[in-house]
Amino acid sequence: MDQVIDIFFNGIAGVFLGISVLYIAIRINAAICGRVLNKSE
Amino acid sequence: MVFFENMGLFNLTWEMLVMWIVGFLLIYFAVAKNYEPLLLLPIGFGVLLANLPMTGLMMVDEGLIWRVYQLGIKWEVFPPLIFLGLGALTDFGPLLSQPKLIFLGAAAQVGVYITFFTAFEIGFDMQEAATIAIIGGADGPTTIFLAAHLAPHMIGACAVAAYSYMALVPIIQPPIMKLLTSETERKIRMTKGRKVTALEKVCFPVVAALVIILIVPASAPLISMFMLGNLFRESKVVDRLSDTAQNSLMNIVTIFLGLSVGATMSADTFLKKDVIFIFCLGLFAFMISTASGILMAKGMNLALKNKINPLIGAAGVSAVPMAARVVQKVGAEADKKNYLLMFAMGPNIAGVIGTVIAAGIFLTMLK
Amino acid sequence: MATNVEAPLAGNIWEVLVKVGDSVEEDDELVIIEALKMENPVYAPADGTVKEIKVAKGDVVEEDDILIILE
Repeated sequence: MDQVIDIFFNGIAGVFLGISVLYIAIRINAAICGRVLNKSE
Repeated sequence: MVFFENMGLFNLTWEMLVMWIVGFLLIYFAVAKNYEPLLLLPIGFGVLLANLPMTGLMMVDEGLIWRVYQLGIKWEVFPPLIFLGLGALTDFGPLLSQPKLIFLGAAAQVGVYITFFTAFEIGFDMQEAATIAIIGGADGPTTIFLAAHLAPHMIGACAVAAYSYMALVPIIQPPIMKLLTSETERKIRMTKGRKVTALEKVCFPVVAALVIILIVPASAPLISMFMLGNLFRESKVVDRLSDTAQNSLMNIVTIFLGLSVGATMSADTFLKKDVIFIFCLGLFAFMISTASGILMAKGMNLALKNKINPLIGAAGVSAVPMAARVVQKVGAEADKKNYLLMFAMGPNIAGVIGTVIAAGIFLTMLK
Repeated sequence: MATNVEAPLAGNIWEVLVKVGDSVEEDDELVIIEALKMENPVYAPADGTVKEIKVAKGDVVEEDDILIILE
């Protein structure tokens, strides 16, 4: 039972953590790509 | 007499005949109703084959379909190959242009975990509960992938439940969407996202693969192939590979995936009262996932200046692109000039990633 | 005064429902854009006459591309 609750909370937290990090990665990716493009113009 | 004793006809059992009905039903849904025919048709035929006596098709070490099953599903070759094709088919543009919508794809996974908890309470063991729960992610290959690891005896039922409910998304989702949103909310028009550059699209699959796999290594088989397929697409230099991944290869894999999943559904594994629970819990998971996506959107609106239309939260359920189409439809009923389709694709694709992460977490904690 | 009718979303032109010279009323369907196997009608933003049609059946359009000019 303890393990079930553990998985429940870890799971939800894990998904949000994964997606949040991906969000940050998208933002950084966009910023870097934007800068590279500006330089080349 | 030996010949007669070995005739299939005299070895039929009534359970097998019941399974024939299941097989015929699946074929009927595929042909007459066009419900996910690409999968339900081969699955339906596979069910028939698995319930013919004395064929030996699923005989361990020898059977033809057993070998396909062993190679493709047990050794987890098929689901990642499907993901390669999906990656080549996916345009991450809508996601990259409105990155905040990615959280809706995470929220819809809450339904998965609530169902996990519920299934365990009902009496399934943890491995089985996780497999049933992932149906709520509405992602067929991921469901099969997780089932093969955690509860192989449930592959058939879970795959059929996942694909049937995906086909039924246009019926399951709208009542929940209307219940949880007001007319004014449904009329919200979204502000346009920024333009996404080609360079950004090429970099994204590489960055995303690294980031996600570093956080949830168990998601690697699916995420790596998904992002590789997308890199094929966006790099624009390997059109041949991209074309093969999304067409020929995916079609070939789909044939054998459907057939071998169907063939796991023999009478003795399928005709149990567990199956009824699997179908009910799968539906429950779909509904909760839809609701949690919408509620997340409403929650985000409390903090956001540019409001988002809460309907697109429902697209966090990753049935691509059905869930996004449903959002467009329900939105257009409230305001016909409101075009939510492309906005809904963002959470929809994020939902795929979210479901794979959720499956990875189950694997990490239960394996 | 000319009004541009822009594509509300990216997709393929499924059908052009009007001809040059047609008079249309606000909310009439002008063009149908197919995206993700879904037909999305584009409506007239205002009353007017069709002055120019910039797209034909089968064309690929991006968001905000001009489809039709009304007068």
